[in-house]
Amino acid sequence: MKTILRYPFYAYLFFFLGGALSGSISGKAQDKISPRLDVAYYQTDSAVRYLSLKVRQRVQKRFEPIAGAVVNVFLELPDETVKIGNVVSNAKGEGKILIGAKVLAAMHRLDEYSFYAEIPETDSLEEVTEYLVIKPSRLTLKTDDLDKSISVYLEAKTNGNWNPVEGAEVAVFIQRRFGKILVGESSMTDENGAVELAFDTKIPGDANGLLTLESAVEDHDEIGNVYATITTRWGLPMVASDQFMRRTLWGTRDRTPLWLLIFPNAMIAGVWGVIIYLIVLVFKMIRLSHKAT
Amino acid sequence: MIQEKLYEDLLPRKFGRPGKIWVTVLVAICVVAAIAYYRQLKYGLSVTAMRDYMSWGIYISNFVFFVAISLVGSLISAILQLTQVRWSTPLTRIAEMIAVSAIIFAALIIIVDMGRPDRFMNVLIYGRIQSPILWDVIVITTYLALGLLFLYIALLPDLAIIIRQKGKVEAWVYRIAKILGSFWKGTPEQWKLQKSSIKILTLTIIPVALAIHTVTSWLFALTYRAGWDSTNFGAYFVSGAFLVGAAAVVVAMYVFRKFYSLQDYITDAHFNNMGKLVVMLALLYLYFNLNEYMVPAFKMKKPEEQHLRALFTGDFAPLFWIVIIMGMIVPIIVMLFPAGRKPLPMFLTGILIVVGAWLKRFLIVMPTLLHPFLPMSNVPDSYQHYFPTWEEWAITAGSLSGALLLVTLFARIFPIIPIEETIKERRKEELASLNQEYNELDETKQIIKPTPHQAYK
Repeated sequence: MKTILRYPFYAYLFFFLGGALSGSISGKAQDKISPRLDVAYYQTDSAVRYLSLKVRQRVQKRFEPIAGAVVNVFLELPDETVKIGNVVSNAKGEGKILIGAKVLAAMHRLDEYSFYAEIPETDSLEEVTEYLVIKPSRLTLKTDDLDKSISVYLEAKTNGNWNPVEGAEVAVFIQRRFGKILVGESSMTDENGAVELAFDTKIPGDANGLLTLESAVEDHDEIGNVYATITTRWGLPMVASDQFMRRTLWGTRDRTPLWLLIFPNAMIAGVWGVIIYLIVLVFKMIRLSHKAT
Repeated sequence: MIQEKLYEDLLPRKFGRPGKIWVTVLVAICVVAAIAYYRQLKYGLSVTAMRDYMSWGIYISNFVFFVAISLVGSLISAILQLTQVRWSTPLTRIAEMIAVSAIIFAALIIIVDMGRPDRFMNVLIYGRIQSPILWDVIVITTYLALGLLFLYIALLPDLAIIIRQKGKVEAWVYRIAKILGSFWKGTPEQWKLQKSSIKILTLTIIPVALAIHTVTSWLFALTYRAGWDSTNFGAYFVSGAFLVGAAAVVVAMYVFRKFYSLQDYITDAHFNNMGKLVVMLALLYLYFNLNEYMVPAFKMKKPEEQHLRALFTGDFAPLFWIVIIMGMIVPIIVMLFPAGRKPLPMFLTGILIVVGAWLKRFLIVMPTLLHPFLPMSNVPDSYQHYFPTWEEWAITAGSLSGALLLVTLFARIFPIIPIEETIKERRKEELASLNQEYNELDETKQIIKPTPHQAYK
């Protein structure tokens, strides 16, 4: 250090080159974003399987979405890797990819699904790869109309056998048009992979009182997100109060409320009756003039 | 002799030079309006500045103004006559002429506002009684019919006078009078029918007149919009209408008095009385304005706040305060003093009130439409403001000129002051003074008091 200070020229050169070099390195690092990729697995009892992806970047202490990132998604089989497809992240940095029938058929033979997703290197993004290993599972939802009880069973496949999953958090919801209502509280599955719930909610269903119940295991480390639904007759039949064809202000012309027909029309008829009477009086005056002549 | 002078003074006369210039200017404005309307018919309502948000422009504010002014017919002809206010007799014809002209142009301006006027009949064919628009159509038609009947039936004795005074009016005026009123012989039966007709009309026209402006106010108040969502609207509109109508009569009184030399018939006393009436109506209207703005301003609900701020301190503030101060407060102050109730100050303040009333209707329609509940987004800049195009100004000016032209033509063809009624009132006055003289003489026992019939003869 003393030597450097003794030779100011070299010192300047050292700092200049050092600064320039570090600047160019940090400049490169700033140009390319190192994205964070999250992959989640979703499965419903209607044989729909899909992967949800989230592409984000860290800006200061927050995560900001990255839009337009292309993500390739694969499933690893014992002897090959199958491409499920690719997805482009939307403005929220999110994307969803459905698993096609061919891949699904291959998945049935597996004891474990190994997905991986990659964002290839581009001018703006660094390459990133994310792995996701999921155990095959099945969620069964049953109801008993006698005592209005709900039973949920969760099983996972291990070494070709279906075994109950213990200690998984299961919630049961009532599906509504714009959201879901939780039934009771979410519970942990017992050693049989079961959860029992009583349904004691009075809630409107459709016109026939039908309600759709949904059981869900969400964000589980081994099985991902699994859903099952069942339709029951436990809702109160909903009678739609459609007044349109009745005698309302909004009704069609022939459905005008009676009071609105009677009173204004009576008033109109009354006033126009007076007008007609006055015109008759004018004609009477005309007739009187003939008499006078 | 008195009768002859009355005929000479009150029978329709040829226009002088100012009258001819006046008519020419009005016709010229109407021609420009016709050109503008042709363009509107050809290119549609896109020639106006009305867009998605501002779907009601000056056409509708002008319509409300016309409806308001038409109410004066019922005020002067019906309410004052019914309450035995005799001084208003010379003003009845002027009020009725203004009322009929205004209501005709109110109906026309609504059709002008329609993008497809050829579909007007659909309102009648497919109209639903639930719709306030249909109520308005019905009530305007009814009021027009009553107004025309009122004007016509009251005019019958004067038409007979025109026919009798054949040489004193132009041939075409005589012919019109003959077509309309040759059957009037003045027989006692005819008089009886005429009087009962007028009585029925007087009683009928008052509720219809109140209905016409209440229904117009409901066109606004039955919607859930800031500035219109008010239970005060009916009374607020009716009081404003009486004020502008009375002011319009004051202006017309001054003009007719000046150009037809009617100082003996429309006297300073008439202006004085009208001044008192206008002050009362202006105070009433100010009271309703206070209600209309202070109550929501005290609560300041969010959507109302935007609207009120635009009026009190925002874009519309200059116009708003001009209307309140020049259209209400200044006239009240001026007319409170006897000197302010002289013809010229009355005329000037009358003009202030009428102009203020027109601007007031503009302020009722525009600010509310420019402040919808959901913020305007993703719309062109022209959608967010409203300034009428030349076509709208021309058509509006044309409608106002048309109404004035109609009043002018009425005055050219028919007596502005009811001749027959004036003769009767003059005779009554003479009889009263004769009676007074006889009474004084009777006290001294110098003469035998005649019967009223003898005195009348």
